[in-house]
Amino acid sequence: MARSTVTIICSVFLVGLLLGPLIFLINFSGLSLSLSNSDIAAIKFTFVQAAYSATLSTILAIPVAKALLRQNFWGKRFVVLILGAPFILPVIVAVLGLILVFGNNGIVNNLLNLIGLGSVKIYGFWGVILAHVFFNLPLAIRILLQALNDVPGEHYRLVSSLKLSFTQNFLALEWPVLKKVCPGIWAVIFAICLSSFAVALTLGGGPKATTVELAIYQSFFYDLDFSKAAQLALVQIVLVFGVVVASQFIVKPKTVFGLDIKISNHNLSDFQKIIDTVVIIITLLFIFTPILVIFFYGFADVFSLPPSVFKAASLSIQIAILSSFLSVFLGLCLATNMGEIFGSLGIAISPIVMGAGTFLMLKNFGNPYLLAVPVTAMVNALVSLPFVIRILKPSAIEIRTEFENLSRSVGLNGIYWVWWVFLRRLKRQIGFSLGVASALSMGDLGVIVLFGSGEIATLPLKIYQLMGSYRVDEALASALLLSLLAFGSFALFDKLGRAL
Amino acid sequence: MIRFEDVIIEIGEFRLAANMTVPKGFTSVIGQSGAGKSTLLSALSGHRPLTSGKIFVDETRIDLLSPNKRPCSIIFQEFNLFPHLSIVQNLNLVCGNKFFVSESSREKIKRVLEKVGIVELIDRLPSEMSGGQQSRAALARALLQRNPILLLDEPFSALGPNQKSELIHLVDNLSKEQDITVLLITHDPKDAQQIAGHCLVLKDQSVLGPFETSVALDEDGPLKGYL
Repeated sequence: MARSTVTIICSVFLVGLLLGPLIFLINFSGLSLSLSNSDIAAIKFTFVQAAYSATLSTILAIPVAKALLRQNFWGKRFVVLILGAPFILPVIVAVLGLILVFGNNGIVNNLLNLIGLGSVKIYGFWGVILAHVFFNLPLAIRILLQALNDVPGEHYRLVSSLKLSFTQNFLALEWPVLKKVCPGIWAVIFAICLSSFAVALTLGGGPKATTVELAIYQSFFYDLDFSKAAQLALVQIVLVFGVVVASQFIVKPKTVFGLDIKISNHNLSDFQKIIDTVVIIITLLFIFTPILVIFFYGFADVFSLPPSVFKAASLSIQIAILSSFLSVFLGLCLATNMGEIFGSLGIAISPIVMGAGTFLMLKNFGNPYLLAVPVTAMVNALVSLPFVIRILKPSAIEIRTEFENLSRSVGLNGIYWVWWVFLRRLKRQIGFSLGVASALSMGDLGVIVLFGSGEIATLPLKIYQLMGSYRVDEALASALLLSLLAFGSFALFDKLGRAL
Repeated sequence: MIRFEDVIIEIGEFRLAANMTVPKGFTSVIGQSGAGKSTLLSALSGHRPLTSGKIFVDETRIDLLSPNKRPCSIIFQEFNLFPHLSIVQNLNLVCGNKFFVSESSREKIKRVLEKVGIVELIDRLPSEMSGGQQSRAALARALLQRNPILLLDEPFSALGPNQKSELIHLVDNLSKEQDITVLLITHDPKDAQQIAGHCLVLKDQSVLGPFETSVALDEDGPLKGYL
């Protein structure tokens, strides 16, 4: 079968999977056309929080990326590498960590109280922003550092030889890079934050801090207003798709896999060195303290967790395996320029609506709860698909170009070509994307909240339930277990991809 | 016998015309860089479409066939082997079972590798072999394909003179033994000189010949000005 045929079949299948549930939902419930005040408030909040999160993450990333570029220290490569950790850290774990650091009785508020200052509030608007900055600041730093790193060393030497002022230096070296890269970073983060669910569910909520995605969940789960859920899902598609289309007109930042850090010729004053060091330390504290406190507080109880937690962990593992293999299979079929466009639809369609529509469709055929695992796996696979395609596509295109003549000359095509060339040459990227997809699925607190019941609960849902019933110690230990599973599955698949 | 009938190949501003019959045996294709030597072989092997004209092999029209259906094997200047596959896996791609290397395929591959003198390297990766050994492996695969035409697109250009000469003679011997028509691209007339075959000369956007190699290399021959 020709490659383009595979891409077309997969794209049609994907569009069916993504839009089918929504169409069914609209068909089932009809479509409400008027927006209530609370809907408008949710849309407004979604936009405002995404804009704040994207702007803060982008602005804060600039001094950190510059400091990391200028300073050379032992472990710098590791620090840059580990900045990728929040991306695969389960949201519920990060939220718990952030509560321990910034919550009412958290480390920061205790310190502030000690010196007689007011306290910070983790719940509501600023809590959502804080969590989004926590997740997206490292992403922004890595992209920006890569861009700054791409400036040839000769430029730095030239500028330093001209003895320019601070402003002239900035305009000559950094401004052209920032101007080119920052809009793209902002757009990526804005799009990610638009469909925020788990953060809003745990730290937001209430009329003043509800995102559209959360409102969809509430309509479906609490109000049983399917028509409203479908209407909000359409709003969500328009919002996210609009941003995705608009971002195509902005220069896209490069995908970051690894960073080739160069030592540049910077003549820094002692003051600048101190400032850079402080900036790096504060950033590392901000990003890693919430992770470390989970390890610190969760460790004691991890061995005495109730069996229900391990049962939930087992379900999470099953879903993660199913979902990551499905996502990578689709990713391999869609690793073309056209395929990427269809694959990216996963960002625009609400996972809750995908789950809800499927739930209602399945209801016609029997008990939908019986299919909770495959449906959750499928939705998780579609959610991680845009990232998987982003990882696979560049190398897939390179392989096709590089080995086209040779493959044709030996008559190697179709499934044989996939077996001998495509899969073998792509195994590192396949391992990496399986790792990312499994970690994202492992930590997902999305569609499972619809299917989740006492019997069917993944580990993130179990943690959410434990938090809700104030069993904090068990929640922390479970969060540690979840982090280990997420990082462990990522490391395992990544290692397998390299070793095979 | 390969017959080019009113063949025109155009790539942007570049144009190449070919109207000739290539006899059986060893034929060198000579011309300056950019004259269209590789383009001619690509058209014959099906990697490049013709703008117009027809190509026949023993009265069978082949220019409408896909590359893997044409009776040609081709060895390129570089990238002749998949770097992640061992030699036996590389050669197995043109044998019967394509999902794994069967015992019978391995035996068949061994016999061909013996002919090209590298049977002991059967399980090596291309990166663990010298350029000359890689060329021999590519030649072995071409022999396994059992096509009546072998196209060599400067595959030995990166080798030293001795190695190159050795391989040209090996190809010549094997082609005689197996009755294969060989077209060898070279920009070095000395390569053509080694084999008493025929010669195609690419000049002024046209393919001239075939000439007997001795005639082509004569002082007043078609390669005048090139030598």
